[in-house]
Amino acid sequence: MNKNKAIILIAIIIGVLLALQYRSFREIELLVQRTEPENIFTELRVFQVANKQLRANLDVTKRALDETQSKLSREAIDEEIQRLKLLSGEQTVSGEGIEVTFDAAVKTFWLNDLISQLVVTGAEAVAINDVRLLDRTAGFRDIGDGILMRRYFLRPPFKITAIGPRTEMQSAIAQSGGIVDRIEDANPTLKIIVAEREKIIIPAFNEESSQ
Amino acid sequence: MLMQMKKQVVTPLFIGIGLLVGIIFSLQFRAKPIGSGSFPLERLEIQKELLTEYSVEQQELKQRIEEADEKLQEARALIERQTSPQTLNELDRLRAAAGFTAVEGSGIRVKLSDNPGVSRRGFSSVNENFVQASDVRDLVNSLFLKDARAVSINGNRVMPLTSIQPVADNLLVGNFFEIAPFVIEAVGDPDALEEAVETIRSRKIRVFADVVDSLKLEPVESRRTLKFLKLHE
Repeated sequence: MNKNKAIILIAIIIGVLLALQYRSFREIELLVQRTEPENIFTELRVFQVANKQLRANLDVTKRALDETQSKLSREAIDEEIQRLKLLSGEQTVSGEGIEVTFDAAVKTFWLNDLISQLVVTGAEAVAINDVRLLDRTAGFRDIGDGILMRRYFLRPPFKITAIGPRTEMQSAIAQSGGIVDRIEDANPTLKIIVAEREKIIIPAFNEESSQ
Repeated sequence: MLMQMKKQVVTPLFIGIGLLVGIIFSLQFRAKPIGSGSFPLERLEIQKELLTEYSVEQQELKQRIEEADEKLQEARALIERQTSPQTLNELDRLRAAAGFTAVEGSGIRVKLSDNPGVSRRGFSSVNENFVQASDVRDLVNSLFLKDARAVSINGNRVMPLTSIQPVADNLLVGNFFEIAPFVIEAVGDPDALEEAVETIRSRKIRVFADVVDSLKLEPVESRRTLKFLKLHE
């Protein structure tokens, strides 16, 4: 009788250990799926490009300073207003870019990983199902077969549109082992279509429709 | 008889396996360390050198950008003094909408650090005990979802289009190189923001969150050239 009890106890302990081990494997598996194939030189290249962009930022700032000092005040202000209109989300914007379509919902961290990759490659504006990504709309959560984007409930298919250098963005995300490959590996039944577009239109953000 | 035979087979078998395991352990223990001139170590040195070089370059660039920005703000302030109040209001409104204004208020400060059982010198991007770019990205997403009015990482304001990427064993937040630990600040309803932190609490990294009564997150002044974005006609 005691022998049986001991066997049951040992079986329970082994069961718990196996469950813990499985959970740990799932966590590491997810991390492996989300992590790009480790290539330190690719990462250093990203750092190099970041510095290049900072140098470009410095040039732009210096040029803006020269122009501000030499231009008529109204002209400088108008240019700034135009630039802010493009970034604020208050007006419909367009430009070349790419369209990434998911035929079903995914865990929303994949959307953040994908968007991060698009931004690194030069995306200047991004929208999901025509809702522009701004500080008033950011934040994703998966709910059933849909996605909550702050206050917008989005249903499949999910269309991510990005305005920016279409060829570079397309090659960055659709390369072998890239983010699209990794999302498909983790979601074998999911279909993802990546398409370059000469013109992407992202509508203005409408505060009322999010209520 | 059968028991005796079993003993005769099983005992030598166990002794054999024991010896084999012992030999494997000894071989492993006596394995020669990688020579100092070997390719992986040279590569590691090159990586370190490049990382240092880029970090130093970035520090210089950051300083020069800050100085140029300061002069630009002064020049603009001069111009704005001659501008009509309506135009200035429009400018301020658009700046706020684009996230180019400072945001103040109560909020939360979260510190993400590695599990004490690991050391950054042995960083691996597939080890969940280290703070990874994906941990920071997920937390920022959750904070925005809980209506954070502004978020920063190690003092750099992050917008929804700020990329958070791994570089070597640290992060590139937008274009800025940031090293661990990562301090994330967010302005908004502290209770809601605390709920956002719960989404990453079950991970193996260390997460400390404090409610802060008064936070001021400076604006990001993006001078990035917009090459593709146009107003739609």
